[in-house]
This record gives sequence, structure tokens and C-alpha cells, in this order.
Amino acid sequence: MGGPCELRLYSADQAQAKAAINAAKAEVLRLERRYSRYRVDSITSRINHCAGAPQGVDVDPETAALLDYAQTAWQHSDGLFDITSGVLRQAWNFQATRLPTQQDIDRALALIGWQRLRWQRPRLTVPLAGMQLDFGGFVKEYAADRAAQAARAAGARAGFVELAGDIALIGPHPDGSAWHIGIRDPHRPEQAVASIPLSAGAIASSGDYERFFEIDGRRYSHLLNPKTGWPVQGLAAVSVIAEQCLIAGSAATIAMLKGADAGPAWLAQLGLPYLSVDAAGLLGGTLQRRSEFADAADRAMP
Amino acid sequence: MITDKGIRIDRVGGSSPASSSGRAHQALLALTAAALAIPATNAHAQAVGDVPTSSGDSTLLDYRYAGYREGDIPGSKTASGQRSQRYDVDSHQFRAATRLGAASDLTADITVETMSGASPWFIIPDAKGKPLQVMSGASIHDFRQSLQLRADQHFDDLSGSLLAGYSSERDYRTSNAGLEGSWDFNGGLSTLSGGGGYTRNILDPTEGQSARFPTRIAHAHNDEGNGFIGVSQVLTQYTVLQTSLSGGIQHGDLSDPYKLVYVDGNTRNDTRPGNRRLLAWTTRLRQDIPKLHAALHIDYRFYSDNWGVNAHTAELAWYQSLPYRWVVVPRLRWYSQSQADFYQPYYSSLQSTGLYSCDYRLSPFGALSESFGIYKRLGGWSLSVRYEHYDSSGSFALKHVEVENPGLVKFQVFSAGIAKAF
Repeated sequence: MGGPCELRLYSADQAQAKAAINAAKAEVLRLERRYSRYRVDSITSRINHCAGAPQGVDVDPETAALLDYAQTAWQHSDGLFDITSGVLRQAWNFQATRLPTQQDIDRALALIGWQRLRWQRPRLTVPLAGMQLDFGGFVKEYAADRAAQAARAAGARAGFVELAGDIALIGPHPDGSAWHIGIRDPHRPEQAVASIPLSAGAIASSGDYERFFEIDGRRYSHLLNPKTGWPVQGLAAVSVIAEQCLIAGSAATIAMLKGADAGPAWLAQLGLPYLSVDAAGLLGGTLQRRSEFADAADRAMP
Repeated sequence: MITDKGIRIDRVGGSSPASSSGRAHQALLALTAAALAIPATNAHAQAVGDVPTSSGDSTLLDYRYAGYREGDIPGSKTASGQRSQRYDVDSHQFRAATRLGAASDLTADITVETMSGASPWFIIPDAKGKPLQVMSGASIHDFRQSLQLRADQHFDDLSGSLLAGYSSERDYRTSNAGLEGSWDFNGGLSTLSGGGGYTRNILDPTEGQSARFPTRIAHAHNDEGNGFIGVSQVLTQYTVLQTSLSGGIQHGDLSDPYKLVYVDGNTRNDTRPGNRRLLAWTTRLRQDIPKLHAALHIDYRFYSDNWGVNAHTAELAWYQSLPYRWVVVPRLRWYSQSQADFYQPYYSSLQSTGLYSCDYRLSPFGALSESFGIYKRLGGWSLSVRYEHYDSSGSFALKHVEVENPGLVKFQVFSAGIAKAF
């Protein structure tokens, strides 16, 4: 899932706790196996291997629903949320501090665009050899939801699942109080910029701190605009709260891609609580006040 | 990312997005509807059944029995005028395969076989020149045991294998070693594979140079080197085409020490050239037909050697999946070969080449085989039964066969297997 994963839960019964842990873990591993592009036996690899084949690939109902979701997100983000944009990784190598040539980027852009796919349930046709689908942009959040659900189905009531920074609650602390989610400072990742109380739902974040490089003082993040092929500039990080981690994650990603002005405006329109950090480190968003309050309350406690 | 203070600071009612649902934007409604449409049905049960056998340590144990029964040779084809029994083989094969980590496999095959019966010895002409089979008088009883080991190592796109084996019967020992490798490229859509091997056979024929069989050799050996190169291409999600070229060179004593030939009223030893070079081209097509839960396999093989044998094999198999993890496989195979240059059922004079053989396996003939297999998976167990019927005849051959070898064989094979993966 591309980062450390954590599961915390309260239980009075060890056997039940074990069952909940196993159920959540199995769910995460199942989705990792099915959708990881690093596994040759995953559905993602199967789809990508058949890119260019005119017959397309028939997918199972879960994958079909995830594709429907990706399509909806693409439609409602003016094409910014695009699961075909992964080929840009071939142009942008974040291990090497080197800018790609415009030619590299144009070559990748020719293989990007949800509108190029033919998606007619259950058949997906990826028309161009070299096009790639990447479920990594939202399956992690979906997996957090599913793992929390699986733990609840196994009897857990209090706890949360965190997959590489995205959190789905199983439920609040046993006394009903909220969990406090520390939001990382995008420019000092070891520090929390805010602490957000959460007693239900999920919180997901997107930021330019995960992978980036700097050339001449300019920060190039791994968040790439699928239309221009260039890293987005503007916001440093966004965290969004939603009922489902899947939605929180897509909303955060889309806001980052929309940039410093349009991103927060879009989130406000969406009506989801969010916290943003701009390039200068200034906090913004509907959660800002509450998190400041929480911080103050935190400091007040012994 | 998370800093859970573990203490109660603040009860939050408003952190749930439910409070903002009244202002929900159309995009949120659409995303929520799409998210809720993802089927949540028994994901956990699916997770258990989904575990691939390709990761982590796992072990496979497999046992297979096969009973091979050659049909009797009718009295009309034997020199004695009597119906004669032929060869039977009972074979027990044990396989243990284990996966070490994610990238290595070790496989061991042990085969134990008992053979008994009579086999064609030589052919004589009757008064009208019709060839009649003389069967080996004594009933043969032999016991063969064999061990084959294989180690595979997988790297990213590459895999390599080491093979070694040894087999022994009373009069025959063979040892082999080989190296194989494959490379996936073109995003895993293409696989290039190749390999090479070496086999040494040592024969100590029963009763060689005995009073009873003074001309039978007492010891012989031959060596074989072989290699192959092939490419497999995923054409579509449902279609895979594989084609390969293999070749071999055999050197040494390649004659059958138990066979004689009739030459103008006398018998001589079966005598074949001291080397044989062979080449085979095989093409396989695998077509999945998801609508029918079936797969069609079409194979063709062309074989040619410097003894003059050219052979065609065509095979058609249909893999039909049925509910409850049953699979049935009907299969049809046709085979046709031309004769070796030096082959004759019997000889009316000595040959300047010094080469003689009346072995039906070097004669011109065709063969048809039909088989039916039933496979069933039950938890970690796999069960299989298979029946094959094989008949060879001059009339199945591609070209007209003037004189059919009377020793052409028909046989049936029944096999049953049980395997368990841990």
C-alpha cells in the first residue's frame, strides 16, 4: 500500500480482537494482490498487459465498480483525476533530480486520458499499447474503508485502520471520544501542523511532501497534472474528512491538482471538512479553527 | 501521520460529514453513489479463496498411476499364426514440489514401473511375401526406477532451471542433465525460452553374447545432446501462441539389441546409423473462450531427422470447465510419419549400407488417439482420471503405405492421480 500500515482497536475479548485484525488484514492483502501494479498476477497487470488488444478485458464486479468510480471522479474533476496518468512516471523520475524534456512528457501525454478508454461494463478496452491503468491512486483509500468494515463485521467497535497516512475509523474510543489525527507539516514531515479530532468516517491526505525534488529552489512534486504532464504548484497539502476514505482521498487528490485557488473553492463547494496548507505554510480550510482549538486543548492537558 | 494522544480531549459531533450533507455538491453525490455501488459482498470469503499458489512457501504432493496395455497382436499377423500378448506397463509416479520463498522451486519426480510381456522380434515373409511378425519368445519382466530433479529460480523477468535425472532398469541406465531459461519481455506479453541438455544411455542387454543369443551385443552406449528455443506470445487476453524449434544429435550405438532382421533366409542384428540428427518445430495455440468457460488447444508439430523420418502431429483438445470445479478434457491426436531410409519389413538381399531395421517405429504409418480426462478440485486436493485409446495403422498415414508393418501397436492407457497442495 506504499507506506506503513497500522491497525488499532480496543476489544475486551482477545479472540474477537484477533478475528477483527485478521479480517482487516486479509482485506488489505486481498486488495493489494488484486490491484498492485507491481504484481504480475494482479488485475491491474492483466489489464495493462492487454493494452492495445482490441478485444479488451472483462473485469469482475468489484473492479467494474471501481472503474465506474474512477470515471465519476474523472467527470467531476474536469479530467484531473485520471487513472491513466501513471505513465507520466516514465518521464518524471523522482529518484533522479533531473527535469524531463518536453518531448518525454509529450510522449507520455499521448498515452493518457480516461476518454481514450472504452469502458462498457464488464468490458474495458485499453486501445493503445503502452497505456497503463493505475488503481494506486484510490485503492489504498478503498482498502482502508474495506478493512475498517471487515473489522466491524468481525465485531470490533473502537479503532481505526491507517494505510500509509489515510485513515478509516472503525469507531471512536470505547467511551465515545474522538481519535486525534495529527496532520503532518508538509515541509517538516516529522512535525504535526494540526491535530484533528475524528469520531466517525475517514480522513485522507494528499501532499507534495511524499515524493518531490527541488531544482533552483523550485519544488517539483509527484502530483502531476494529467493534462499538462507537469507537477502541480500551489497547495502543499490537503486533508479531507468524509464518510468514506475513498471519497476523502479522491477529494484531497483533486483539490491538490486544482491548485491553490480552485482547490479550496472546489472543496468548499463539495461541503467536505478540509484542512489545507499552502506553499507558504499557511493553514486554510474549514478544519483549521477546530484543529487550532484542539491544539490549544492538547496543550492545556497535563 | 497520526498522533493519537490516547486521552479524551474533545467530543466532536461535527467531524462527521453527515453535518454537511445538506450542502452536498453534485460531485459529492455522484462520488458517493459510485462508492456505494462497489459490491461489498463476502469480501472476506473471497480473500480466502483468492490466495494464489504463487507466493509464499507451498508444497505440492502428487501421485499418479498409469496402466499401459498394448492390444494383442492377431494371429493373422504373426508367423506362428497365433494371437500373442504384447507389452504391459504399470507406472507409479510420485512428485514432490516445494516453493522456497517467492522465487525458487524444487521438484522431484520418482517413477517406479514394472514392465512385462512380449515385443516384436523380427519379421519374416510368408510364401506370398506378406510380412509376418515373430514375437520375442520369452516373456520380458523388468523393473524401472527413475529420479528426476528440477530446480527453478525466478528473477524479475528471468527464470532459470537446472535439471538432472537418473533412471535404471536391469539392462538400461540413463543419466541426464540440462539447463533451461526464459525471459519475459514486451511487458510480459512475450516470453523467450531456451535450453539445452545432455543424456547418456548405457545398455547391458540381457543375455548379451550368451549361448542362446550369440550375436546379441553385451554392452553399448550412446549420447544425446539436445536444445530448444521458443517464443510464446500473448496475442490477446484470450489467445496465446507459442512456437519452438528443438534439435538433437544422438551419437553411439542407436540399434535395438533385442531386435533382429530377416535377410534372405537368415537373421541379422538390427543395425542403425551411429548418429542421428533431428529437428522438430512445434506450434501451440491456446484460445480461451470465456463465454463457454472453455479453452481450445491446437498443437502442430513437424519432425524430421537424417534417417529420413518426417512426421506430422496435430492435436486438438477442448478444456471445458463445469460448475463445482470440474473440468473435462476430450482430446484427439493424429500422427503420421514416413519411414526411415534403411527400414524394410524384411530384406531379400544384403544391403551395401550395412543398415537394417524392421522396427515398426521406423516404418511408415499413421496413428489416431482419442482421450478423455476428468479433473476435479476439492479444497486443496486435485483428482484426475484419464483414459486414452491409441491405434496405429498404414491407413491413417498421410501418404499411401504399400506394406504395413505387422507389428504396429494399439494400446489403451488408464491413469488416475491425486494431488494435494499445502
